[in-house]
Amino acid sequence: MPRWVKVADETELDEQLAVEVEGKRVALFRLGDGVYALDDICSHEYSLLSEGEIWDDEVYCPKHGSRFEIRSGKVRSLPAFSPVTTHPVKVEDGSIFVEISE
Amino acid sequence: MSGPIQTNVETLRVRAGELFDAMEWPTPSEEEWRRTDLGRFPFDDYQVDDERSASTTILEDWSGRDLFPESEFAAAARFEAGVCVGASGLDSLGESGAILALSNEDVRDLGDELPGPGANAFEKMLETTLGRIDNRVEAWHYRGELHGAVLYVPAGVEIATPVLLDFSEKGQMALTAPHVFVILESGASVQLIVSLTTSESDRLLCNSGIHASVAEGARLELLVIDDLGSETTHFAHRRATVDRDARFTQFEAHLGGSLVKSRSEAELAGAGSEAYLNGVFFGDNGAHLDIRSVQTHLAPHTTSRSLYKGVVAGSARTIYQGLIEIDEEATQADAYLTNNNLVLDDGARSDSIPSLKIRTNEVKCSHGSTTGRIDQAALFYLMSRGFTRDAAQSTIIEGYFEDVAKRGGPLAIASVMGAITRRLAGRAA
Amino acid sequence: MSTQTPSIEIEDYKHGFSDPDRSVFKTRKGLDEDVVRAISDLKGEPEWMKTFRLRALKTFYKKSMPNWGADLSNVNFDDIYYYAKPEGEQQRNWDDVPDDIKKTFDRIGVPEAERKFLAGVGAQYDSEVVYHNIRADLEQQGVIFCDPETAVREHPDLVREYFGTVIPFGDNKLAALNSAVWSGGSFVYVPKGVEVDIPLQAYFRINLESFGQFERTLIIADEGSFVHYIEGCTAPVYATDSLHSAVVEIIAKPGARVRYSTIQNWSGDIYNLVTKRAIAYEDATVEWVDGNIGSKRTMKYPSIYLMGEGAHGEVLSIAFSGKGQEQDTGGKVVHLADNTTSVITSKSISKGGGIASYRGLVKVEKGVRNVKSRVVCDALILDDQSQSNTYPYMEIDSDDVSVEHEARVSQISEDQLFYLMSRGMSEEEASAMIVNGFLDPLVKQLPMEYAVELNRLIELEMEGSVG
Repeated sequence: MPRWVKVADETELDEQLAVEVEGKRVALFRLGDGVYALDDICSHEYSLLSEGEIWDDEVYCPKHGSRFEIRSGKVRSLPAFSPVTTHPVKVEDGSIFVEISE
Repeated sequence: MSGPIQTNVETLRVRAGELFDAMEWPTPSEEEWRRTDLGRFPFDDYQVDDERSASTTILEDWSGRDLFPESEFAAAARFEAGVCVGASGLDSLGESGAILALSNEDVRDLGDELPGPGANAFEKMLETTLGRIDNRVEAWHYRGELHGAVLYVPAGVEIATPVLLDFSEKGQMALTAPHVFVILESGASVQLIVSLTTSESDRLLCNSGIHASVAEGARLELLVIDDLGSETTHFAHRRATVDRDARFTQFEAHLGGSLVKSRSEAELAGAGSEAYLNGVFFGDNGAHLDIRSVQTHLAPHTTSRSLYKGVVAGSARTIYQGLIEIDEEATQADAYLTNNNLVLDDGARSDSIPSLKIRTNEVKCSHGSTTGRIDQAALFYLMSRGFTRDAAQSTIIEGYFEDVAKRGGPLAIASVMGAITRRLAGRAA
Repeated sequence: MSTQTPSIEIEDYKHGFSDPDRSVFKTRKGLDEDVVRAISDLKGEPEWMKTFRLRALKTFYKKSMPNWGADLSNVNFDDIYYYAKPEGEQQRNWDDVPDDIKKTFDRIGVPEAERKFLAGVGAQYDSEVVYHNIRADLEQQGVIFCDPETAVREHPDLVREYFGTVIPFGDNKLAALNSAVWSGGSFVYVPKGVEVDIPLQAYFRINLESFGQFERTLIIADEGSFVHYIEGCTAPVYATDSLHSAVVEIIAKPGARVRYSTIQNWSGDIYNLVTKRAIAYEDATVEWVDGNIGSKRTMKYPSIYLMGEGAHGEVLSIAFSGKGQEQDTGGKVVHLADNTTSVITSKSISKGGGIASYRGLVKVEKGVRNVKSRVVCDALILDDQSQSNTYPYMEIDSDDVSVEHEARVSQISEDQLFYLMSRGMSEEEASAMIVNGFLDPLVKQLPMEYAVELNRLIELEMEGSVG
C-alpha cells in the first residue's frame, strides 16, 4: 500500500536537500516547475546527489560527475550507466511528502 | 631463569590502548579498508561480558576427542565464552620443556618460566606486534581483555602430535578477544590447530589474533578454522615471523559470519625461510568477507606461496586482497600467489585484488587469479550419473575446497570439510 | 554572440591582446574565471562551450588530487600558463638542445625538418602539404578530421551530443582542469560503413597545439566504420609546460571498430596525467595501444565501457620507466552487456631506479551473461634499484563469467643473455635484443614506422644500462 510520508517543511528546501525516509536516503530538488525526489545515492558509487551541482535541471554527482536528469532519474553521462530511482512528491500545507510503497 | 619480561602482555595492552585512543576507525579512503566500510558499524554496542572471570583456569580434562574422534593431541584446551573450561596434556608437554600457558596469570609468569632465548623471543614478538599495529581495530584487539594461550616450544624439540586450542565464543552483543602467541625456538617443530566457533543465535564481535615467531630452522604448521554463526562479526589479525631456514605453513578457513575482515601476514625475515599460506572462504546469504594475505620477503633466498579459494553465493560479497612484497635485499626470492573464486549466484559479488610490490630484479614472482562459475561440463557429467543438480554442485565445491585443505594435512581436511559439507547441505534444503 | 574567427595561431594571441574590443589581458600564470573566459573568447566559442568550461572550472576547485598512484606532490597549478605563452617562451637555440635528445633523433631517424620543432627550437612545423592531400581524400569519404575548436564552430550538433558524455568534467580533478582550459587535440567523425584505410595522426597537423598540454580529443565512429588514430611519436618531445592533462573520449557505435595508438616520449619534467575512455556499443570493438616511454610521471588508464551486446575491448600497454621516472599505467574494462569480451595486456620495464606500476580494473555488472576477460601483466626489472608494482582489481557481480588474471615479474634471463653473448653480442646489445623481444607482441600492433622507431629507441635506452 503506497503511502505518503512527510520528509521536510517546505521552508527547509532551497535548491536541494537530503532527507531520510524510513532509513532510505532521498534527495529533494526544487526546480522551476516543482519539487522532485531521487534516491540520494548515486547509481555508480557511493556518493550523495544531494551534494551535487545542479545545472540545466540535471544534477551532477560530486564524486565522478555523472549527470542525472532530476525529473526522470535518467543517466546522461558515464561513468554511471544506470538511472536513479525517482519518488513521487507532493507539497501540501507547507510540508513536503514523499510516497513510499511497501 | 630470566626476570620479568620488560615488554610483557600487560605493557602491550596498555600501549595498544594508547594507540587506540589516538586513532580513528579506518575509513574506505585507506586502500585496505576500501571495500569494508565501517562507517555505520555499531562498535559501541558491543561490550565485554563483565561477568566472565578470565583468570580461573583448568577445571577438567579435555582431550579434544569430541571434535576430532580419531586424533591424538599432545595438548588440548577449550575455551567457552573466554574462560578455559578444560585442558589436557599440559604436564606431558612440560616434560619436553614446552609450555602451554592458558591463564592470564600463567602468561604473566611466563617471563620467569621461559629460558633466556625464549623470553627474548617472546619479548621481541610483543614489541613487533606493538610496532605493527596500523589500524584502530587491531589496537582494539590488543588493548582488550585477551583470553587465550601462549605456546612455547624450546630449541630442538619436535612435538609429534598436534596441539589443539578450541575457542567457543558466546554472548549477545558481546565483544571477545581470543588470542594465541606461538614461540618456536630454533629447530623446534609443532602443528597447532586453532578452532573458533560461534553459534547461529549469538550476536557477537570477535576480534581475534594469532602471532607466531618461528626461529631459525624451526617449523610451524598452523591450522585456523573459523566456523561462525550468521550474526557474528569477526576481525582477525594474524602474523608469523619466519627466521633463517625456518618454515611456516598456514591453512585458514573462513566459513560463515556476517562481516569478516581478516589479515594473515607471513614475514620472511631470515635467509632461506619459507612460508605457505593456504585459505578457503565461503560467503553466503548477505555475508561480507574481506580476506587478506600478505607475503613479505625481507631476506635473500626466500620462498612463499599463497593459494586462496573462495565461493560466494546468494547476495554475499567476498573480497580477496593478496599482496606479495619483495624488498631490495630479498634477492633470489621465489614467490607465487593464486586466488580462485567461484560465483554461484547472479548478484553474489567477488572482488579479487592480488598485488605485487617488487623492489629488486633477481626474483621469480607471479600471481594468478580466476573468477567464474562452476565448470558446467563437470556439473552435467555428474548429473548424467544420477546426481541432482544441488548434489552435483556440492560435490564439485567440496572437491574445489579440498584441493586447498589437503595442503593443511589430514586434520585440515577433517576439520573443515565437515563444516563445508554442512553449509552446502543447508543451502540445498 | 561570438564572432566567427579562424583557427587561432600564436601570433593571433598577441593581436587579441592589443585589440581594443577585447579586454586587455596580459599573459600570466595561474587559473581563474577570467583566464577561462579569455580562452573561450580567443577561440570564438559559442556560449554553451564557455558555460561548459566555467562549470568545469567550478568543479576543478572542488575536487582533490588522487591520493593514490604516482607521486604528484610537485604539481603546482598556480605556476602554469593556461593558454598563451609569452613570446619567446617556447624558443631555444639548437645549441642548447641536450645531446641525448639530438642523439635520439639520429638513432630513430627523425627527419631533419621535424627535429627543430620537436626540440622546441621552432614554433611551427609546416606539414600543410602532407596533410592537404590526405585531407582531400578524407573529405571525399565524409570523414571529419579537424581540431576541436573547428569542430565546435562547424559541427556544433555533433559536438554537443557527445562532448563530455564519456568523461564528464567531474570525473576527476585533471579532467575538470582539461574541460575548463582545453586547447587543441582532434575531432574525428567517421560516417556509417566508412573504413579509413590510413591511420589518422595528429602529427599531420603539427603546431604547438598538437602537443599541447590540454589536448581534447573526441572520436565518433558511426555504425560499421573503422578508424585507427595515432597520437604522439617516439621522438622525444620538448615542452616547457610541466603539466600535461589530456582527455580522450571515443564512441564506437554498433559494429564500429576504433583503434587508438599512443606513443608518448615526453622529455623533461613532465607530469602526464591523462583520462581516456571509450564506449563500445553492440558488436563494436575498441582497442587502446598505449606506449609510455617518457615523462617524469604518467598516470593513465585507458578504459572501455562495453555497453552493447557482443562488444569487445582491448588494452595493450607498454611502459618503460627509467631513472627518476614513475609510469603508473594500465587499463580498465567495464562489462555492462552480455556476450562481451576483453583483453588487457601490459608489458613494463623498469631500469635505473625507475618505477613501473600496473593499475587495472575488470568489472562485470550484475545480471550480465557470458563474459570472458583475460588480463596478462609482464614486468621486467633490470636492476636492483628499480621497482615494479602490480595492482589489478577484479570486481565481479555476475555468475556467468570467466575472468582470468596473470602477472609475472622477472629479470632478464641469464640463459638468454649468455646465449646471445656467445653469438658475439655485447651485454648491452643482448639486453636490448631481449627487451625488444619482450615487447614484441605489443610493438607488432603498431604501424611499422612506429615499431621500427620504438625498437631503436629501446636500444638507445638500453645503452649504459648494464654495469
